[in-house]
Amino acid sequence: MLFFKAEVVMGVDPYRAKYAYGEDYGTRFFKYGILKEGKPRVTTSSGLFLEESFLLKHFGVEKKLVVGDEVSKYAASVSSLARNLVFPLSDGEVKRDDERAWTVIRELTRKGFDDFKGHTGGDFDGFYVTAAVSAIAPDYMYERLLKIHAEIDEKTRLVKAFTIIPQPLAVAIAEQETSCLVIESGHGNTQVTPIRMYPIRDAIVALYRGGAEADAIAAEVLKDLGYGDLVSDEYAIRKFKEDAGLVPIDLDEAIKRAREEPGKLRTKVKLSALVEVDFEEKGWLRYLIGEVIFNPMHEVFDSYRKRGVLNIRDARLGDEVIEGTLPLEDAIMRSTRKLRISIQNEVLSKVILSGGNFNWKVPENLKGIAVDSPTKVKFLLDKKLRGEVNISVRLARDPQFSVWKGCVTWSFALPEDYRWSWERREGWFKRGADY
Amino acid sequence: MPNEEIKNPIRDFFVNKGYRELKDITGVDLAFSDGETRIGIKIFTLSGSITKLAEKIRLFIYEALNSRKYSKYYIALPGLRVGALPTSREFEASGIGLLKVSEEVEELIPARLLSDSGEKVEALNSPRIDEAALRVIAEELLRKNLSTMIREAIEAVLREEFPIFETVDTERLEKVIRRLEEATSTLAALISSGGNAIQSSGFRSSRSFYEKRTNIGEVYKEEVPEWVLNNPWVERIRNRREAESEA
Repeated sequence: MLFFKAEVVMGVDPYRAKYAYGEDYGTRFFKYGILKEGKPRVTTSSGLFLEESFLLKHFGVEKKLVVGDEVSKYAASVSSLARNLVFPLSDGEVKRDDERAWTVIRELTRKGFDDFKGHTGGDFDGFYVTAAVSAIAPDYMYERLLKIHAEIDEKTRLVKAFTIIPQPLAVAIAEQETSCLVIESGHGNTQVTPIRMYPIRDAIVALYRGGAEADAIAAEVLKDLGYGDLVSDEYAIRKFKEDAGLVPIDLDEAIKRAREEPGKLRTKVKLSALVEVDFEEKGWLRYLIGEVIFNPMHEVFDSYRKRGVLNIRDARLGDEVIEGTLPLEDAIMRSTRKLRISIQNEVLSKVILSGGNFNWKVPENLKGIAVDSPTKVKFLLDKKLRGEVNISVRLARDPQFSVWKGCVTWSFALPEDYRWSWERREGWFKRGADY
Repeated sequence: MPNEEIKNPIRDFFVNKGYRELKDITGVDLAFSDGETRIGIKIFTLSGSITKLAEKIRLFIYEALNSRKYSKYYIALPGLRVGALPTSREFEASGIGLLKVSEEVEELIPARLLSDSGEKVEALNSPRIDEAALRVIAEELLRKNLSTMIREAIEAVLREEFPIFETVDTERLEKVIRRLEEATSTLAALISSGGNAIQSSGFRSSRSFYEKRTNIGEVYKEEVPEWVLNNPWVERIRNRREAESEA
């Protein structure tokens, strides 16, 4: 990676180059860190409340809560994981009154700063911090995050200024596109956000579906193949999803072809040295794992819905209700229609897919039937628009870290005197002025 | 003791800027004053090893900071001996300036007023980058087509000079090595002339240019990644004001 001297080239405060900090609060992972490192540190978005334990005390563990990757170390020490293990974000949001979830968020945030305390010099007076949250995150999430950062600074003086931006904006920044349509699909939700200098809030369409639904279908496929004993193992499901899942360009056609030539799709997925899953004649099930992101309304998913596997909730944006099962191309159309006509084509001409949920393999022998996500989205949009718009779709260059990259860039460049405003939900929330 | 050939261009440089030479000097080789600011110049020439020279330069910086007999200090080098120089951060931190002396003098790093707590960086001159000169260099590099030269030399090794590997002819091998050496020395000369031309063209973003060439490690420590540097959003975010929010 190439690096350049900040103040000479850009006229930017070199302090920011050293102490710009980003936080991406994802449903599955919390990504955090300073600009200078070039990439974030990643830890699981989870916390484990430890019960009072003589044994833990004996080993010198006085903590009541562990978070992130430490959770796995202590998982065996609690009697009930279900009661003690907390994933604070669900569909990209933390529930307003879920105090345990907010405690985990606070601890994850604090621990992130702790990790970087040692990276400061004599000139250090706190980080410039930008956090990214879902584009439809409610006001109370902003309020709580502002409060948490102010409290952390009060005790540590590690947060000089704090601000929050929507995740799709962070993606557009990382991708260096000032006018585009960002589709950010993480574990918990999928946000369709037109960007033109800034997210066009009125045109955001959010779907409460993401990697979690693909996981759910993967688990059901495992059950249907006779490996029901694996579905309680989150790692096994994820690996199975990633290795076996395919995105068909046209699901009906793909299933038809698969049934005609079952051998072509037969595959064995090795989950460990001991466990291998054989699809036998049911290779077509692989397509369902990828398709659910794009169109969970397809009739092939009816049986899963009846089994209660796909309980996707609807999103409410203002007065509008957006069904969680809305096909992705319809969600894009709904968003685009809200734009001024003069910019609709411009925005559609650059569609960026971001988030871990758009990374699907395309086996060589299935090319043309199974495709990557950009090809699928372009196919769906061209079909919808009858090829009348010159649409280009691409994956974010760094889909896992693009949100974090956008955050640190924002921290780096946002003017010092641009103060936080609730109307704009933008600007620095600063020590000495706001807390 | 530096000879007059080195001192004269420095004299010309400062006299042209309105300074007069001071005769009574301590710890430096030349000194000038404009009535308010007294500037001390220490000239270093390579007489032993580069490492020794580097040590001497550092020692001088410490002495200068300690004595502060002059309000500004410059280190002057006839020719830029990159390996002998302290890092640019050391120059920056100390406030000591750097002059490159040839027939003319170039101020590569401006000196800072030592009594001024490092607040002001006062450049003696700061001409702009000469885009035409840079273009000439770029065209020259393209014309020479170095990659082709090197590729041809390597192909010669594989195709012509060693048709059968077990019968290596020493004389031929020497010829090939010479050809490769020619290619690499041409490359080195072009890089060097490119650098000189950039400097003589008046490219005086001296610190960044100097740092990139001298100490990558130092640059790395206070860097911004390329994806930030080339990002059109940076300028937009920097100019963000209330009126601009929400498109």
